[in-house]
Amino acid sequence: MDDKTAFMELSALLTGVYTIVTDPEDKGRFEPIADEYKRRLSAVLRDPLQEVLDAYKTLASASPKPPINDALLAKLRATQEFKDNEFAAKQVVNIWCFSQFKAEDKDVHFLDGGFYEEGLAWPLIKAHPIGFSDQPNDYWTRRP
Amino acid sequence: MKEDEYDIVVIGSGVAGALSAWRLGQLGSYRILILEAGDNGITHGQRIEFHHMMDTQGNRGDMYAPYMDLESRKWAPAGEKAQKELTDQKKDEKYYDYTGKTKDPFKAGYNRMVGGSTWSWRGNTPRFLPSDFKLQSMYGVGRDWPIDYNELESWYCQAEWELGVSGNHEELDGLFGAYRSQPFPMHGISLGYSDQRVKSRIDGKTVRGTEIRVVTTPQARNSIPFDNRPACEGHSNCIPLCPIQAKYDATVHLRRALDNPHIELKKAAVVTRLEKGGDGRVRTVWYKDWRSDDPMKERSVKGAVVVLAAHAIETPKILLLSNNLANSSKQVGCNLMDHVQFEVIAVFPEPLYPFRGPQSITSIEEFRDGEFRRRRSGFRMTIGNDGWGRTGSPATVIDSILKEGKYGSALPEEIAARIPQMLRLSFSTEMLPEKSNRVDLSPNKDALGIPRPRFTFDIGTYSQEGLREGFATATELFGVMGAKVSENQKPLMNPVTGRMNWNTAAHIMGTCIMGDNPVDSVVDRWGRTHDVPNLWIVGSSVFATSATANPTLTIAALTLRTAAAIHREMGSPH
Repeated sequence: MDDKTAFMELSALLTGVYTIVTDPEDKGRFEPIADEYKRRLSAVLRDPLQEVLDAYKTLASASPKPPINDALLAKLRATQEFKDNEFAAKQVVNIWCFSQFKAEDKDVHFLDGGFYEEGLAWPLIKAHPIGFSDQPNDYWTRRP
Repeated sequence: MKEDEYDIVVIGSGVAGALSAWRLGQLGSYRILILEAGDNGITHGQRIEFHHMMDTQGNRGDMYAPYMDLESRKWAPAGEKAQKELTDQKKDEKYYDYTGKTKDPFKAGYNRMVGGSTWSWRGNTPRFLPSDFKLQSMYGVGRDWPIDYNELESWYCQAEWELGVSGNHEELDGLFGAYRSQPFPMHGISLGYSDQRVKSRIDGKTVRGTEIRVVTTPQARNSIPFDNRPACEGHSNCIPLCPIQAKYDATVHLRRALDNPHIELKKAAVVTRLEKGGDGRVRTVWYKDWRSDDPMKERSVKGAVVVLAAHAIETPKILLLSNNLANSSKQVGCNLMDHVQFEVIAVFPEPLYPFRGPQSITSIEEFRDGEFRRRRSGFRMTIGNDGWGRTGSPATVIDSILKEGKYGSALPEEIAARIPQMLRLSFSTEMLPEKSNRVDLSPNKDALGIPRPRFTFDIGTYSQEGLREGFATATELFGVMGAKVSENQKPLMNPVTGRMNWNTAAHIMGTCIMGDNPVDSVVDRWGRTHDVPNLWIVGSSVFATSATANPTLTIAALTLRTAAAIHREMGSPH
């Protein structure tokens, strides 16, 4: 399995947004985003991210290929690689949720993921990305 | 008149400078020069550029995030990293210095930009209350202004039209005696779903012995298309930047001023000092042009009248640099005030769906005034529509969820359940004018060789007791709502410093205080300095008290009034 595929599957596994890889339309849309997210994360978290990816690839290479679900997630979380590098795993979640991540836990500021408007958290909380409303005046008076 | 001679030189192009220049340009055919330390544009294209700067920022909602790449920050810094505790500021903050006597950090920054700090403000525009002008005579603390609410009321009405303030007249007319002689230019911003749910639980309830109401905050934010600017579209980006200019900023009046062929704007001009002529009047304004081939060289212009509008740190700094100009009272730089504030964050018992609409629409005004002001500050409370405000972004909630091990299929559900229940109540307290709270000149210099500001600051027990009461009130209000204060709540007392935790509202006030007596004030009731007949000051530096109201509307009202006074003076021989 190549790193690109592994990163997308890992992203789906950690975030619970499985359509990143299971829905052909979403997959097509998210592929370039995933590429960029992996590139940016690797720029500051190369080794920790790679360890988590390698741990995932080992599990995912089992035959038959295990489905992306909580059972697979539990196995990943039980690996030493995940435990040692959980910070990197959290940044995978952060970057998909709000397109931002941290280089170190103690950092106050986030780094930019590059696709702010594509953050997965916004539709989950029924809000638009801050600064990018596409709705008319007074939309906020109504329950979403 | 020579090329470098003007009728009026205005120093600063924020809301006070912009309004002064524009209004004076309307009143007379004055040749006016605005000198501004910043050099950004004020076009819609510049706004879009700033908006997209935030695409690369990790911290949306940071007041200065869109402007951190401006070259002007190197030459005209403004304490953008000051929102820290003292020890951290001394490590990171490259502009503010402190005396050994300071007990608290000065956390307020500002924008030295074309358009000033309105590039970063929320847009809230409550008026002062009548008692805010009479703190000493009513409660025996602080000072009295030389003017009262009645004298300023009509100017408040004008200012509300100029800024474009939306609000509900019947909610606010007569608040603690603050009558309104005119309705707002626009009806109030419609309450968000979140505000409606909160209001349904607490409106009319009694909290800390006071019956409270949830009202729409008056704000310079269009509820309908107004003044060739669109109605709010709820981008939830008020601080720092409204991408469509539904929120007023000073570029509105700057553009109008610059449409006047007699008004010029010189950017990248950092004023270094004012020089008097033999007649005791200011004649020459010296500045450094940091975009020139020789940024360190002082250049000059002359003005028959000089209006200082450089906000409440740079304005006194300029006077102190000018051989202590206009300072026979020894009050220049003193009486430094800010609104110190804090917030309590909670989990509401049902989804509120924050981050939809303006960052804050409603407020509770009942705690702003009362006999308690004899011993502690009042405070104004706002209800947030931005989750946990400054305490925690939605990413904080995700971090908590992951700490519980809820990756995978549980995560989207948890996000959808928890973030929509985030709510904050903020309270902003007044400070008393104390001569010991001051800004003066540091021996350390900035990139242009100009002394940096040096602070001696202590928020004082009057404000601390106000914060304590605010905290208790917010906590009790959450109880009434059935909301649970979050475990992420910051404590009121900082266990490391032993001092109170507080945030800045970045409402810097008081450093060129207004009064009738030249012995203890810098400017008279019209904003003219007591000592120098052709030198006027506009902006929050003239505030004699801080009150609990965001200062911008009062700045605008006073500025329009001062402009009228300047015009009267210029019309008659002096």
